[in-house]
Amino acid sequence: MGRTEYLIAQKEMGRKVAAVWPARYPAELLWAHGICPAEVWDPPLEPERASGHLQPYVCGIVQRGLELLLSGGLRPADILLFPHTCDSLQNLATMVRDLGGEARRCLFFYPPKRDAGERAIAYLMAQLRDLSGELTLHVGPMNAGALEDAMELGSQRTEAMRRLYDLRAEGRLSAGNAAFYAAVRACEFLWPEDAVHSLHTFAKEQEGTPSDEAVPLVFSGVLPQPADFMEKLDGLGVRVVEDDFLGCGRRIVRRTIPAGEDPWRVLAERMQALPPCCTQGASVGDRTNFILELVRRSRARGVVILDVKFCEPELFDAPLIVAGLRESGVPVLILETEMEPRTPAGMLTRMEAFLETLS
Amino acid sequence: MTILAAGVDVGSLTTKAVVVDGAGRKVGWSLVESSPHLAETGREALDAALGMAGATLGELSAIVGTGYGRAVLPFATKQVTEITCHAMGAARIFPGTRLVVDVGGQDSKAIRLGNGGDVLDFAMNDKCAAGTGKFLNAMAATLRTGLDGLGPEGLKSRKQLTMSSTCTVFAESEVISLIAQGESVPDIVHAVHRAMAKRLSGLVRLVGAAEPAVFSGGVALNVDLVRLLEEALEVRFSVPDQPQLVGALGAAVLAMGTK
Amino acid sequence: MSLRDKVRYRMMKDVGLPAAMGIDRLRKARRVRPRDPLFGPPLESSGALKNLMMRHYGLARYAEGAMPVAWVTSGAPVELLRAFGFYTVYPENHGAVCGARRVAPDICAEAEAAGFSQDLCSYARIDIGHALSGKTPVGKLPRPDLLFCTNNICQTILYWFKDLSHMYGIPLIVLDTPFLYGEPAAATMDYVSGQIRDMVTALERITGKPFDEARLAEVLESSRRGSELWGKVLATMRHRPAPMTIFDAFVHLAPVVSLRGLPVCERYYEGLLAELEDRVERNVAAVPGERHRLMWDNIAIWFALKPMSRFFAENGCVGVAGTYTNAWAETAHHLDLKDPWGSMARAYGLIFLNRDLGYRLDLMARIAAEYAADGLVLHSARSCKPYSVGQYDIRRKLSERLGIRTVVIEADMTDFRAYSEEQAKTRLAAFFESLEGGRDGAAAAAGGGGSGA
Repeated sequence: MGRTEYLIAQKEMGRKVAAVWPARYPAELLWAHGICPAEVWDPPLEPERASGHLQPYVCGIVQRGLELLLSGGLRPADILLFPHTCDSLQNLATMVRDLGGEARRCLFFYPPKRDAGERAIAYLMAQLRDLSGELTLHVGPMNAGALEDAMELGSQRTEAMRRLYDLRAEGRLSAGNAAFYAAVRACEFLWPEDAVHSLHTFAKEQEGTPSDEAVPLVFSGVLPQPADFMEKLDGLGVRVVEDDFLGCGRRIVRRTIPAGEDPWRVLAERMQALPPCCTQGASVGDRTNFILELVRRSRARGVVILDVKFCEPELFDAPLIVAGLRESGVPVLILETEMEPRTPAGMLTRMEAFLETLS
Repeated sequence: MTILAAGVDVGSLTTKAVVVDGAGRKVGWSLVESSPHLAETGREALDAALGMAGATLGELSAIVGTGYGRAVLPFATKQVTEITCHAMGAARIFPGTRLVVDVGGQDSKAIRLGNGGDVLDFAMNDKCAAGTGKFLNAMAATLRTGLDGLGPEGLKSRKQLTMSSTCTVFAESEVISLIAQGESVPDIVHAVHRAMAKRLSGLVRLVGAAEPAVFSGGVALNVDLVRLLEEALEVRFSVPDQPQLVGALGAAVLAMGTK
Repeated sequence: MSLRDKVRYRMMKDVGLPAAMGIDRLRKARRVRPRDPLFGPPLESSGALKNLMMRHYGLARYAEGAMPVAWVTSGAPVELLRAFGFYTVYPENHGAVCGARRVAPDICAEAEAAGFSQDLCSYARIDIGHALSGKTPVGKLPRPDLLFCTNNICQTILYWFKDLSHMYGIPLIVLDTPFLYGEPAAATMDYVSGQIRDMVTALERITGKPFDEARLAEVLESSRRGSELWGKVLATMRHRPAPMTIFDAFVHLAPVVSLRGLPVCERYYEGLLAELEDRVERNVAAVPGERHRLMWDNIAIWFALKPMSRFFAENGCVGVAGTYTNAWAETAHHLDLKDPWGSMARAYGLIFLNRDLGYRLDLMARIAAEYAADGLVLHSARSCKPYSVGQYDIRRKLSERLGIRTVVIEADMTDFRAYSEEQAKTRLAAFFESLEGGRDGAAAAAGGGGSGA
């Protein structure tokens, strides 16, 4: 079932749908209010209407998200949720709400940009409560115990995702890159129970030793873009064995958060426990170490930094992370994508040349 | 019977082929204009090179395809990227090469080589016309010097002008302004070359300048530009006699090695 | 920190620099520059401004080792640093100087050679390029002991300063001011004021000095006064004819940005204000041919101030208002000695760049009315996403709402490599022509920038 059909079915079931922009947001809270989040990362649209509102130097994620909205693709969404991630998304959010006449259904969320310890947790908790208040106004209050149930589903989904990532890193998953990311990215819009089921099924079907002698690499960046790039990598004999993609591996809590009495607190702590991210002010050292750890656990032969053109948070970190990785003896390739409809020849040439240096 | 191997470098503008003997020496070569039918052009170039070598396709022990069209050559026994091939070709002509700067019609690249001629790092510009032969083509058209005329004109320059644009479109209008202001063609050409050298030196610095250095690709014949790049990087460049064939030579050498 | 460095700093401050600047003044006094007929008499305060900033960068050379040095972002609560005796350097101001001296591409190239994308903010590329190469037109910048930033102006400074922290191996203090969609929630202001309170503890630890509450009170008072004086300086441009232009304002902005909270800042603006009020009284015009009054949105195009100013004046246009210059007068009134943390949280958390575009629209409409602006020039600055993203829609809305002509020019604050003077002039020329045609609700038809085409 395609994404659109699935979301229509959700609505028919009585759930609400929230279009959610990148990147980090409290999905559990939305579930607790009976809202199915549908993340807007890279709708396959060329920015036509959007270019009347955005300069050419704005990244493809913002351009396409706006294009989706302007083309009417988000009409069925009950809520538009904009977590604060970067300058461009920040301004897109207010353009949509304040200049685009969408004040009625726009909501916001601000993950803290620094490690402010208890202050950040307190602020997050206050925001979560405020957001719940806003959601109540929009769709009604949470049922008793709904938040606890949602937290449990969140744990299950994280567990299922972690298991999949572990299998892949250990070389015990036969699926190719394209299939892997299709499964992982389906969770951008699946209701959590469906997501858990889908991930479990995929793991079960794909558990096994991969048949090919693919070159194992770790990828870091924003998204597995262009859309056919993972398929192309399958053709080139590259296996992505771990990833630090903002939209994928960087949103999986890699360690167990102790259960707590206060679900609001646990939810805040979960958000703060996510891997280090440039959009949250994580240090270059922490990010480099995280990627090195991914290389170590997956025994990858190198790292590919896959940046989206104009993406400031990533592009500021990249040169320093690359230097750090190279100092640690890890071969690194830097690629840049403009989220083209098809992987450009130049990108494949660079990938192949990198593979040639590894052999 | 001599052992022969060949390399075919299919670019979007030109296609080159080189045939080498067992010692890696060039015994035949060709350069033809590319057509949209890349496989046909590749074959045409290869046949011409074979003709010069007095050999036939069947005598080739291996053929390596490289360049933009490397995936569509039915006769190639292996495909290798132009990065690896240019490194190999340059190191073959100038043993010990540490840096290759290749500027073709549509792209430019900087390749750092290790001790053994292996590729350590590379940087490419294949998105923006500035810094490629296309930029020079556009300027040559605006200034009516012809592409081959740019080098000699630039060498005649007596006055230093500055061009600030890195965008080809902006640069064209800057050139027109300079013409309108009465500046001489040699001075303008030299300024164009300086702007391009600045751009190329940025690309090189991504991988790190080093010596011995080789400048390959059609643009290497522009003496004025090469000199300006040398100044910008404080590095001496060696230019092969046939700078456009470096990729195909490298491919041929690799083909010989795969036997 | 060494005694020798402290003594040397003192010597330069009290004797060396004044002497060097005195000689420089004598030398310059001999050169007589011809008056540009397009403009009224140049501001006499400009000389004092030049000396003030020269002294600031001159002293900066000797600050390293003599006192703790902090590099600060323009929207950070510098008052805290002053209370602890830091010498402050503003990389954004340094960036503007590099832009004006047309050396930005050269320094940026150093950062780009190290792999930093050319699409990143040019101020950041200049700063990183300087960190890698030492290149600067101001002699020498003191190595920082501390980096101090606030993301009220943008998120990019967070990434930029974090990189510097990594490269220099020094601590970074961040004040996280959440972006405000609508009125701020109580939790948000608590978060900000709480962080400010925590900073005092961090600064005590870093400097080894106890917090001096009285000193902070002094600095807050000075900061507020300096900002209020700046507001009055800007307000003189409401007069017809305007005694100075927005291009002058961009230049005279430097003290309130870099020297806010210091007595020199207040004294400077007292002098400038007096000069401007005198001009207002005598109806001395900055541009004698003033016909149209324009508002400028976004940061200045530092490398093109003079030519831009001339082009405006040639067409009878005077820039009289700006959102950028206004920012340093906008929120200082919140500063309150009785509530230092909360008031600083408001003064810094509520700046317009940290607020939604509906707020910005209302602010721009208000400024346009106060200054009787009949046209709006929007500088779409490639480097500055929070300022530039949304400008196309702001332009359309303001044009409808106020019935004024508008134009967008694509440029950057400092990096002129991607700037087409031809393109900008063509758009402005068409805009100026449309101004001559009188007011109506349509945006300038030719040379428009709404679609970016």
